[in-house]
Amino acid sequence: MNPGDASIEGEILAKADAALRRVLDPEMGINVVDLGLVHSLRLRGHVLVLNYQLTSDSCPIGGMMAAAMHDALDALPEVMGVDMHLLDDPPWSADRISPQGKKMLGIEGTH
Amino acid sequence: MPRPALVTPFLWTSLGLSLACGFVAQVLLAHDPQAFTQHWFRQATVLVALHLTTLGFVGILILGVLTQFLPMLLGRSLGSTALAGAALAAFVLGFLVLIGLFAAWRAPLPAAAAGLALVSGSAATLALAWPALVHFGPNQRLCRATLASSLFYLVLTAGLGGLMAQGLVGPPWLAPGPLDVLKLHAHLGLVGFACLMVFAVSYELLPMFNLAKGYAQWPGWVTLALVHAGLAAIAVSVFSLTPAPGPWCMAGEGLLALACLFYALQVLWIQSRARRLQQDASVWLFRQACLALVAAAVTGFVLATQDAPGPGAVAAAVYLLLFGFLGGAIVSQIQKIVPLMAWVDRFSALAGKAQVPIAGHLLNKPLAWLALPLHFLALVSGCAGLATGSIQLLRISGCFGAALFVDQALLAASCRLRGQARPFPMPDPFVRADLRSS
Repeated sequence: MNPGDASIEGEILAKADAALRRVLDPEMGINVVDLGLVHSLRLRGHVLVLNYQLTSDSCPIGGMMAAAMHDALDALPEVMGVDMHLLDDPPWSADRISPQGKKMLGIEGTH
Repeated sequence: MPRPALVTPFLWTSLGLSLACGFVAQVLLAHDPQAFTQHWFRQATVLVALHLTTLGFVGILILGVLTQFLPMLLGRSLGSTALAGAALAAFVLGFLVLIGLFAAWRAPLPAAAAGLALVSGSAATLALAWPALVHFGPNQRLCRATLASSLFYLVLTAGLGGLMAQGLVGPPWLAPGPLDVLKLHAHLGLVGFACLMVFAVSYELLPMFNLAKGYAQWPGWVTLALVHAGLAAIAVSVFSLTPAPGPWCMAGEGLLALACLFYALQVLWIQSRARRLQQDASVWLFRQACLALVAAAVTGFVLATQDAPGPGAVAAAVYLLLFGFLGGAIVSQIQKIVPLMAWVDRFSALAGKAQVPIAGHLLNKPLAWLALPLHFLALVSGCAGLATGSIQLLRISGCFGAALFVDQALLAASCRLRGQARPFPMPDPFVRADLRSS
């Protein structure tokens, strides 16, 4: 792939976004994108670079969620590898949940 | 990518052992209720039931959970799984020896065996927990201090229990009578070890499960300080030979009652800040447990002001704390953790690759809700039976209590059977979410 080919890059990122939306948080039942765990997703050549975070340092299934995100992205045929970076600052808060996610959780309009 | 560090067979084993202990304790209550009425603190059946509940049900479950969840709370390795397994096995071994000795009651107990049982359990626990406590993150200082205090009181109460078992409570250097030391031993174990352990774990688990914005630090610190001061005052009342109701004893019980109230306020505060507080059986069971805690605290204080409180009333206060608060709080959290454990076992490897149910869908809700009336009925009939000496009520309480543990075992088993993974629907779902939603 030519790195300058924006349309192909956009298509791959869209597929990656859809793949991440298949990964659900088992406790809350919404996908990791709507939950706000995905900070940024970009392509570096054929490698997907994912900056993500977890809902808390004490998340007992944090390693599992990271592995599921990795596997979902790695399964894309156009991708040669996944580079994942865990961010812990600023800490995750429920403000990061998307409007759709809040609707699913029934927490619209809460503080 | 590294796969999860959550070793669920370890947790399932702890859960199974602990539910079995709780069940047997309740069967003892139903089978031999007379033992719980007259001079209950000298009855082998009661001692077995009490230690089955405190060390077996509460201790094994909490230590089992801690050895798995603590490393994740810390974000650091606590050592190998083998170490965790060995420590818990030592604790269980010591506990079983102790139960065996109580069952074949002879006073004083064989010193070596009792000492070995007590020391092996507490030492293994501390050895396991110490590296974690040292490295605890700064944002969890309250949790760390509460956990460390809990383990400290476990050592104290185990040591005191060892002295009592060897009949060393009578010599002049340890002047108080056996009943005074028993009172101190019970306070150190139930409030110092078990309650503080539940407090510490709940500070982390409650916000996590309810999407609350953390917890207030100051009520937690006040709770911890009050527990320390209250237990110290009770120790002074015992060793200064102040006749009951003495000022130290009343002060101690008063401080502990305040500590329990502050903890209940903390729970209310966390729940009020929850962004996703599902009014499920777990939440209501925890509220019921906190009510029992406040009731136990107030009862304890009232009894401390009386010249000669009846043994039935004292037993009812202990039951409120042990079965009402500790039992209720732990069962409520089992209902949150068990579906997650089942999900990890069955579906974590398929997450993102297939449609998998979420953890909450694995929970059998009728069984979860059944725990609420079972706990309530067992608690009310048990307290009434202990206070009035009614054999019939105690038998009923034991039956309801045993049913509660069976219910939880069935709930755990059903989590391993419910729900199944399915392939993602065709055609290719790799469609942009915004296009799909439009």
